[in-house]
Amino acid sequence: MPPDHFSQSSLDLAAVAPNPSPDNAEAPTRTLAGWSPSLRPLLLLLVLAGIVWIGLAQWLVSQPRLPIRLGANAQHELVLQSAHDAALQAHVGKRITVIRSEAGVLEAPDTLLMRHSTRWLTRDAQRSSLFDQHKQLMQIISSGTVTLELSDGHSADLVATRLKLAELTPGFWLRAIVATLLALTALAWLLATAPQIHKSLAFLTLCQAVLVALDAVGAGLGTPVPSQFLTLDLALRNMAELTMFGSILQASGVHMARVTWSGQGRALAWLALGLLALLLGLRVLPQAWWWTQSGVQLVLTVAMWTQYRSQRQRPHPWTSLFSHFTLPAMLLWPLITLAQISGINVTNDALAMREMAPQLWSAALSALFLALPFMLHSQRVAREVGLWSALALGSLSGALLWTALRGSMPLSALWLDLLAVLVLGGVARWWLSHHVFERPPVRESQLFDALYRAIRLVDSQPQQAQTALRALLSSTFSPLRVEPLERQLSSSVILADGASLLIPVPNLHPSDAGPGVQSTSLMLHGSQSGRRLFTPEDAHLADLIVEQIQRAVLFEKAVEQGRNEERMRLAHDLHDDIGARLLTLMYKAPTPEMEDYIRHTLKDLKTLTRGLSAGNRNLSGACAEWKTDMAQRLAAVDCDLQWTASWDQDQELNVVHWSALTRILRELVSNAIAHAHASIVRIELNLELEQLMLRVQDNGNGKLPELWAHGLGLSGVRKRVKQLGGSVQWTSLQEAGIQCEIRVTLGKPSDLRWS
Amino acid sequence: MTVKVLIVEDNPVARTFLNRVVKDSFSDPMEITEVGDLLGARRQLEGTRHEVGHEFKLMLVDLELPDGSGLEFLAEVGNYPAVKIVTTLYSDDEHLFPALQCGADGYLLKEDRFEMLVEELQKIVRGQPPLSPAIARRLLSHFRPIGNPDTGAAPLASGFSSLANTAGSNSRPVRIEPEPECERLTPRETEVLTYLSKGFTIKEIASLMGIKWFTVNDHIKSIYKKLNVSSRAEAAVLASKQGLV
Repeated sequence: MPPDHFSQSSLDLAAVAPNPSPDNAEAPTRTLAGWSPSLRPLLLLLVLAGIVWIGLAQWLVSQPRLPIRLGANAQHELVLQSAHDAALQAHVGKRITVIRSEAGVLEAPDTLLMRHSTRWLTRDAQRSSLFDQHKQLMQIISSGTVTLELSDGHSADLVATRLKLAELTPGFWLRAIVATLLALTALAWLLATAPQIHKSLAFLTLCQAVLVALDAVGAGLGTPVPSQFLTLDLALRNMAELTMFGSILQASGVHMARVTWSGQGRALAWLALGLLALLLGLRVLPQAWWWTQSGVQLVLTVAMWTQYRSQRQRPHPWTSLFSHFTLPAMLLWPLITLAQISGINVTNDALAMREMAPQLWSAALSALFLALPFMLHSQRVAREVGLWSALALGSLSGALLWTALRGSMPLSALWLDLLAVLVLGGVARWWLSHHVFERPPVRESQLFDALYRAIRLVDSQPQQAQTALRALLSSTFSPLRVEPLERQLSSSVILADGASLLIPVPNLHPSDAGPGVQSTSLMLHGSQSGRRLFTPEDAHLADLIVEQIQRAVLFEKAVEQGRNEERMRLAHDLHDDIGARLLTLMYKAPTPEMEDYIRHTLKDLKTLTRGLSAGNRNLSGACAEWKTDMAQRLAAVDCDLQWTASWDQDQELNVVHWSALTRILRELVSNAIAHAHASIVRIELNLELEQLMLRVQDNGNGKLPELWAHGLGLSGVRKRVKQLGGSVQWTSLQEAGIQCEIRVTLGKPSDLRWS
Repeated sequence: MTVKVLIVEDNPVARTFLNRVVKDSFSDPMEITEVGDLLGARRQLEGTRHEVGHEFKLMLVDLELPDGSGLEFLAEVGNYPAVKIVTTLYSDDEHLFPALQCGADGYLLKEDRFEMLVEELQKIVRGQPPLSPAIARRLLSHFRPIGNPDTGAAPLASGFSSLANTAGSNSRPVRIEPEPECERLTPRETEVLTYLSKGFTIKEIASLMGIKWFTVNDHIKSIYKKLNVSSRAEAAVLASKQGLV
């Protein structure tokens, strides 16, 4: 893979040029978050590791060893477990009393000879004894023939053998593979450049690799163990363990602490750890085991405390992830310690448990480190790993506790332990899925709800689409911070290894004025108030949400357009067909009254259709048209028009208002002409604070309205006014004539609908 | 000298009506030819092209014709020496303005009464075409310098021919080439137009501006001419671009 994938693995915002071309910005979100390292260094390491392991294997098989297997009996004495020699096989189970040769004698060897590492020996005396015994045995073997004396008096002569490569225990190869995998993982973390936390993770994994490698070699060794190995083993183990936990401390102190520990503080911490490791390696410190255990415990506690404080003050998904594993470690470590130091009178089962504990611990750590990169990629993997590790740790702690307290490990206790663990596992699974990693089902219905509401909002108020989208994304991911940016992207991109998500937001209203008003992408920092990392699934979800909103907006636009087109079509058909027919009728009208009536109908039709097809119009334009029309009509009957119109705001009249007012005016003027036979008509129109007042006066011979024969005209006026939600009042004027006063409240043009 | 009149109208009742209107409007002897569609109108025109001195002096063209739009015809007879009047049921500016741009000298609304139609017809022939407030507003925005937003309502995209659409789109103040000086409105003309757009009658405008009634009419006539010229120029350019001419 080309090296430029490195920079894309953690899209530092500074590195992303503004408005990059779409294919540049197409970061591989589908790959492991921040994980596209080049294969070449890894292959190199693999080859190197292979060479190393083969070399080690060669060394192992070259070591002289006794062709027997040692074991321990109920009294914790060294016995013969098995032998290659058939004659010796008969004496299996007998205590080994003396091992001698020309070079030396080993009297009363004990079970310490079975161990290949001094790490988990609690007492200094035990450690030195182990060292001495193995040294002596090595010396003894060097002479060639070894005599074994058993408790039943039998003595056998053995020759130190060397294994063939194929006879090397599979335990060695297994551990070798795991160690190699860990080393590869460590290298991969290093190669996937920045954030800095990757370096700490690399270190952690490397230390674990070293530990597992030491286990491998220890497994491959027989009896006796070369003392150089023992020394080296102790030193390396101490160093690796302390470094491992020191890295956790480093990670907590540097990347997660609210205030990064000062350089001096860090140096001091490392110095202390280094010193401890050195002293332990030189076997200078008394009670070395205690030093190691408490050293690790201290480091874990400090790290945990730092993470806890930091999570409270500056939540970050990495901190959350780390603390989820530091806490169990911190709690489990004392249990392991406790298990090791419990009383002497322990059964063999308990002893086995006690010896297995560190190995299980090591295995759990290895599994965790191997799974860590995958956990960042898929929530499901994370969930499973979390669950299994919880189960394993749970069972381990249970067993350890039992061993520590009771000093035995009966089968019933094991079953009880298993049961407890299953229950615990169930609880842990629920807790993990709801709080730690996955989106619980409850949240999904909430998401659906929020999405639906957002789409409804966008339907009713398309101009709110941008805000609705932003609110929806915020409620879905609960980010710490939302930042609008000007970036062109084609799909969502995860940045900073899961700490931020960059979502492209399409311009939902291209008709909006002003360039650069709408941001083209949103940056979400910190999912779930910083407790979670953004995963590729989140990015996909964000893309889906944006797509849905976009679709809703487009759909709404299409529907609106369809509605408009239909209205226009209707208006045209009405106007052209019906209008033309009315025209013909008008021409053929037998009487002038009928002609006028039909003309009136035709004009009403035109008002209505014009209202349908055209948009809103301003009051000023409407007034000008009304004035001209009325003047024309009145001039035709030699009537004077006195027109006054004033307004404080040239408001937009919507269709309902405009058509209703037009027809009202027409009716009133028709009446003034037809019934009142007036010579002067006075029309006053005033708009003040959205209150429209229309007054039509004439000096005709009209009487009180109740006495009039109401044609369709006047009741039409009443109906129209009622439709507008206004009031109408007819009064008769002092000298002569009728006044009609109408008051209507004009709301915002979009408020009214066709009733 | 008989005045040859051409009436293009598909509704027979309306045709008869218009016939009466024309007869009543003028005292000269009239020879009125009625056709029901564009085809007939074109044939009539062809016939007169070859006879000099026998052209139509007056044309009443219906905008809503079965085989096309009256606007097409208007554009075709742009150079024809006759008074071209459109008749239509539509009284809104989205339909009338394109007609004026295509070279109409005036318009008659079919819904009006007989007497009113006669009066209007006489006025148009006399050179005093009507100008409704809506059309006045469109004219104002049409002649406004480039850069001013269109204040008129969006044009109705009804069943008009492509030419009408392009003519209609010309109402937006986007020029193909810069306007020559003679097509700008004078300040007085703009004033008249503004008053008209507010609904004042010609009498009121005359009293408001302190000029005679005839002067106002002259202004209106000149506005029409300028609209014709500018629109024709643009239409010609567009037409040549579209290969219509």
